[in-house]
Amino acid sequence: MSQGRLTALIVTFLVFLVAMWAWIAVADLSPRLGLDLQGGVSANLLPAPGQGEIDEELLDQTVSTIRERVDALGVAEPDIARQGDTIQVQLPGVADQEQARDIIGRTAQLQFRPVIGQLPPGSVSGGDEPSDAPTDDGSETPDDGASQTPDDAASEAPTASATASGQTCDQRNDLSVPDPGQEVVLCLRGVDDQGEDLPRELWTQLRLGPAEVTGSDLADAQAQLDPNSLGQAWSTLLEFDGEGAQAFQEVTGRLACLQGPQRGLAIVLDNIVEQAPPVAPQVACEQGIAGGSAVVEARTEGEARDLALVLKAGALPIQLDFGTFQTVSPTLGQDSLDAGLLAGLLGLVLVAIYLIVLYRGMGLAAVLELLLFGATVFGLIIVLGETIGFTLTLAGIAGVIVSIGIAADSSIIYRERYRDEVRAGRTIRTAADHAFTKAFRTNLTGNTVSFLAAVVLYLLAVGPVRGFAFTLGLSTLVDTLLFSTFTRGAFGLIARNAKLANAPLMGLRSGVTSEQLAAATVTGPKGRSTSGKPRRKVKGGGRR
Amino acid sequence: MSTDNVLADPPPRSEDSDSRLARLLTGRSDVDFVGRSRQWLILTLVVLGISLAALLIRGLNFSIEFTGGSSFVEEGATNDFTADDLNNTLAEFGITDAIVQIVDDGTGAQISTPAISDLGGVDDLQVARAIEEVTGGDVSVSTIGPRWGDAVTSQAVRALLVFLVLVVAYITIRFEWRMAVAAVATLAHDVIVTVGLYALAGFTVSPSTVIAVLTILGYSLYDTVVVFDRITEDTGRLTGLSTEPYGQVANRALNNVLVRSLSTSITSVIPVASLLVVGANLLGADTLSDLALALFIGMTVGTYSSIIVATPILVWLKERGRSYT
Repeated sequence: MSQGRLTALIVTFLVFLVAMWAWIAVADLSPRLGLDLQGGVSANLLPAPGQGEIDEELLDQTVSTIRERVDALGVAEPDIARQGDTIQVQLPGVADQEQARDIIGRTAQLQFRPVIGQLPPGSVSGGDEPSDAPTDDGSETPDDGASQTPDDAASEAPTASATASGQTCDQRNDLSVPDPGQEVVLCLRGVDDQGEDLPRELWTQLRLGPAEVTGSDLADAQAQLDPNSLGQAWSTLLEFDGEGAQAFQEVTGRLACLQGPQRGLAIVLDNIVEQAPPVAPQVACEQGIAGGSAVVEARTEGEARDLALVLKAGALPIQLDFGTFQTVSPTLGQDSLDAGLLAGLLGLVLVAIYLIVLYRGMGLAAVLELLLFGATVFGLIIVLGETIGFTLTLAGIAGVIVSIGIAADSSIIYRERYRDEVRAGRTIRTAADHAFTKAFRTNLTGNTVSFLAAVVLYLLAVGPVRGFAFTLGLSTLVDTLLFSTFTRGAFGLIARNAKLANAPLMGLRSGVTSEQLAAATVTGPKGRSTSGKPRRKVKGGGRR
Repeated sequence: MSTDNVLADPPPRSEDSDSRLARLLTGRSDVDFVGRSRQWLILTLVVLGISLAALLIRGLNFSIEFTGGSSFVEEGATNDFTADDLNNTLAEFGITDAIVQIVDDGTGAQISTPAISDLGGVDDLQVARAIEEVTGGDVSVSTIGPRWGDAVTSQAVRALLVFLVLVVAYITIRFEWRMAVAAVATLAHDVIVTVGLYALAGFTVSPSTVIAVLTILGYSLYDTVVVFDRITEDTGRLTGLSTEPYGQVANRALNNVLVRSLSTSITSVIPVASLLVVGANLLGADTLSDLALALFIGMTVGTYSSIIVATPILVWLKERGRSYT
């Protein structure tokens, strides 16, 4: 490999590194810190035993239910994620820990309530109506069929409301499950034509009667495709158990006698009205929907599935147990962060000293490699925090610290290989090149095993293990990248530079006995007669 | 290094007067690892025996993460208080078997209790508030349900099995099945010795320890793979005409990577050791110190075994088969 290409390798790597840090500096980014480093509440929830098979969809719905609740709590940057069967909740800087624990551990509550009237978004006195007009007129119109006549609600007497009707939906942050026996005013989730949630201030509020049917009355819910519709019409099928079927028939029979929004039966999860589909026009007054099953039409497959999940989450409550519940004070978090950084720095310095003692000048180059390794890993942690939301935890810092050993090992393998090659009689330049080829293969093999371990841990383990595995895997990749670019380039260039190669302080000639150097003289591959003279080593690029 | 005066007359190897260290650093170490494998075998068996015995007799000391319980870390106290004050506060909640430690010159405290949710609806957050009232500092709470440790461990065991299958496949493809067998046997050795040491010393086993043991697996394999890589390369030069036995070549390869193995271990253990020292002096950083301790032990054992255990097993497997592949 020519001098020019070696330089190109170094430049490529440095350009990448500088570009990354330039972006970090310009965008003023900092690492996303985990709860253990910045303080807050963190919990791991496990499904309670004895609930049979719990499918992933149901867990995902549980996650989004918890997320809704946490959003209402007004926590900045909450992190709620499912890891296998475990749900991890991270809430930085929560003031009321009791409340936080209460709302994240609670089972979702599903209620069916008749719509009494409608309040417009924003305030009681009308205003902007969300522009989601009903798009199909089936036997039952999904969600927003009821949202067209704002006047009704304003004319209702506001006195009966149990909850604060003067507030807009974005201000409402009470998390209580409404009393099933009371009339309440709740917010109806507003969605646009694509089925995406609208901002909360555009949501309408509905006045609702007491709960007539609850989640425990529902046996099952699933999305289905109407067989007669050529794959177009999706709907959600609701199936009630015996008592539920009766209650459902009663309430739908009563609603069928009414007109307008008051035909709507609101599906309430916790304290948000997910939809309020009206009873279909053909349902007879006082007769209701019999047979213990009903269908809610949907505009899209996604909408049908979402509703089915909402219903299931309430109908088949997943009882969650706290696997862990932790609060970390900001001081403790800061202390942990400092300790982690201190340990990393200390480790780096000691390893650097060791490398310099062992390899002199080449050790110094190895220290430079270590520093670049650190700068790359740290930069990537910041960038990944920004782009994919990677959160740095204490265990993650431990992963980085452990990987210092892996990075140092690559430098060591290269240098030991190099010495072997010189001992075997190669010149410094060819030894450097041959050593790279062999050391890189070893590096790839070893790092494959480490990377495999990190990936398996990341995918299969829970809790803090994942942060550890992530940084360990990341560091392994960075190590191989650095090794094949900067390390290769720097070592190659030094070996090609006569002055550096022969300077005793560089150590390119240390670790090799005079006897072996002599052997190199005699049996050197190209039949060189001496090995001590500097100029012979500078053949590489043909220029210097 | 001044070379000129000796260039003409290199001393013969047998009369090498350099110290062992000098020979090691100049690539002339010639310890007979493989030839003496019987000694190593006995030593290894003794160590394994002690480890297993310790595990059976003493058992492991599991942390509250496995048994369920709460730990409270108090920092920056503004009032004077004693361990008795805290014990009295805890007693008001019916907690009588807590372990209370006062640290940081009396401004910090670390308390662990068994699962308090069993104690008639006692709430860990209320306990934390009560401690804050006594001390005037900040209290961090960590409560672990009794099922958490099992959940973490069963996940870890699953991860371990998947990892082993992948690694055996990888080594078999990259090298050969005998190396895979030798590597996994070495791995088992490392884990047994590490766990045995935990039992012997009575160190606390937490989920972090489990993570660390998984990492040791990766590390131990990494080390073994580097050694095997070199052996493969060196023995690859053997031809059918060669009279040199596999064991001898393998032994030379081992000696060649000895400096690397030792250096790597030292550079790996240094950061872990600093993690251990810093973590041990930090309140509530159990994750750090638990990880570091198990890594520290495991890495040391891993280096030793990749030389003393892995290669003799490999040579034994190879020479049984009597073919150089």
